[in-house]
Amino acid sequence: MKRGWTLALRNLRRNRRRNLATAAAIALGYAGLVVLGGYANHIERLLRTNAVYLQHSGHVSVWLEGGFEGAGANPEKLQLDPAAQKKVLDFAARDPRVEFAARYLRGVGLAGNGCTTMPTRILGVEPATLARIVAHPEVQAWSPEISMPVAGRWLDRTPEVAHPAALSVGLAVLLEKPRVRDETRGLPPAPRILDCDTPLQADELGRDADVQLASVTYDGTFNALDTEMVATFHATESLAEESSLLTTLDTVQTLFATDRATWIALFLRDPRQAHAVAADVVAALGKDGLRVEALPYDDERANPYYVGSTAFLGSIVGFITVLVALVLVLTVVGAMTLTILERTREIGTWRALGFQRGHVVALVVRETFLLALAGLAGGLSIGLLVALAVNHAGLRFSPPGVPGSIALLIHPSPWACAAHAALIVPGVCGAAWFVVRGQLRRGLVDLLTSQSG
Amino acid sequence: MVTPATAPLAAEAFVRVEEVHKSYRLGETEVRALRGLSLELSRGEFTALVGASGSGKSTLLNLVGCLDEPDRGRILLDGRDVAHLSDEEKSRTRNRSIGFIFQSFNLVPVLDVFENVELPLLLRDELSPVERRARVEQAIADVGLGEFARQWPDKLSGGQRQRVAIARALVTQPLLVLADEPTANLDSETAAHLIDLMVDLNQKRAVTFLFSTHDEKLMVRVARVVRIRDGVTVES
Repeated sequence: MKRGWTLALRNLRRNRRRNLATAAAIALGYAGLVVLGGYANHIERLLRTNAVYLQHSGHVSVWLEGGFEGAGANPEKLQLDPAAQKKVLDFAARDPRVEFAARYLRGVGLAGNGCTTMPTRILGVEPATLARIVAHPEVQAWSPEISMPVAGRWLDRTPEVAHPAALSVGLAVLLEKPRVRDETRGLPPAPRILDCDTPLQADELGRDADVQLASVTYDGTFNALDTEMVATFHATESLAEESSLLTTLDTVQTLFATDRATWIALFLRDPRQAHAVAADVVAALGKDGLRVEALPYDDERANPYYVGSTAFLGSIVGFITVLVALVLVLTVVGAMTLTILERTREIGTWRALGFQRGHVVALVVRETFLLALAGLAGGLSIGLLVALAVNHAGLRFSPPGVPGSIALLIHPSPWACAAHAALIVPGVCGAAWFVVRGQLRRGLVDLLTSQSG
Repeated sequence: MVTPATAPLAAEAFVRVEEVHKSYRLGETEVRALRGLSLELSRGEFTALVGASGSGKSTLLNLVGCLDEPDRGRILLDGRDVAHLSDEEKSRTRNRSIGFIFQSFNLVPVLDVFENVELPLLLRDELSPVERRARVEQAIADVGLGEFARQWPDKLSGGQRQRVAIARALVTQPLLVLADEPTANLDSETAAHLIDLMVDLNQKRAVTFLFSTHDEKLMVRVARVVRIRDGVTVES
């Protein structure tokens, strides 16, 4: 049929108030989805950035086979020795999909202040890697706040310190260390031997940033070394806020008297390649006689908080999307039912002039399509304006499971906006199709003699 | 004044209605609108269907126009039994062979005069835009509305609207034009002018016209009058 779009556009000029109300309903529903999708997108990117970069799992973490589960209990046997580390790093250097790779050594020990000790999860990272991670565009874009220390300087900025350590804020509080190294300058030195039972204890402990680490080495002897607290930070998860300590790889290797690494993280240029790279590294190193396991960042074992949170968020967004789509479909069903009823006789006239059922259906669906497009355009504009306003309002909130507060930011994703639109347009057009098909089942004479239109 | 239409241009029956029955339900009541009605129309004939309200005139026009199907009997259009046509073929027949003029004009309010007349031609893929435009302009000129081509229907008088409807019915160059009470909503003078116009077009274009009316004053203007009472023809 010629000029179908023109006719559809003309028809929209009738009942302008109703059509405006319908388009406004679509616009508001879609704006809500744009904002909700923008929030979910921001949170997902934040959690992903935290998991991949700030929790140091990389897009792919490579472990000696059995190491992911057993390295803690049997570190000597299930961690990567220097030869294995070299093979993994060589693979990473050869593969153009890998942006960079980094070695990590993880263990548990005690952190002490001279009076008390606290069980601590110690992670050793190469300072250069930490510098690269903190400056990474992904980190700067999605998690700039969490990537910055709460106080002090990161390990890579304190080359003058032999064994620098960054403590999670909760652990620093437990160890009664309110000041990082830079903040203790000019204070009278703490006594070499502390009297842990006097009221002066807290003041004495806080005058320096010394933290002692103690642990059992891999060969079974006891080892301890002095570190200096150069920074405090918020852990990316609440559960780790009172027990996390980050220090250099050398320091942890010295503490545990080992040259091994627990895992090597591969940071990719494109996160979508994670599964392929994981499979390839296992296969390639397997051929080289090294049996490893590789976990992509979205593997629940590697990042349970990220995977669980995004799945929960996804289901909430999906549920609300379906709900909004249903409301919009019902709105369009109502509006189109009225429209079609009012035009019953006219539809009969179209049919009498030779237009087939399909022509009439196509005309009404085109009208709805145009209405939906107008609504989506309006909704997108409203949604983007709301996002802009929220992003400039400086609102903060405390997401569950994350210590401290973070800025409430909304970053609508083009893909999510397109996906929501792709759901709404067929939904409302289908609703119009349903209504007009029902009306066209009536006999032609019945349509022509209708009193309602 | 236009002289009354006289003899048909060809003798063969172009429309043949054979023993047609049609009933429909009106609430709980079954109305037997046609009870074995038969009728033949020759090509180019100008015929008025006359009868009281409820006599079956509109039902007959609906059946001949492929808008409805008889319960019994046959309707042949140019030799083809319309009962054997699919819904798509009936639509095509209505578009290409039949023109409709309705009592309430049935113009599309969001289209201007030109666009209303052009409407049935939008289904004609074989016509170029230039041919389509020429046909529409000619049809509008034929009904004397050349200067109103870009007017909206609600700005026109009842007589002018019905002229638009006539132009729309004729623009497809149909073989048959069916008009159900085309003058019912018009004053008598306008109604007479409209019938004269239809007669004139009938003579110029050799199109078969069948229209229903209960206005006896119009009878003098037509060559053939078919009277219907209680669903059967009583006089032809």
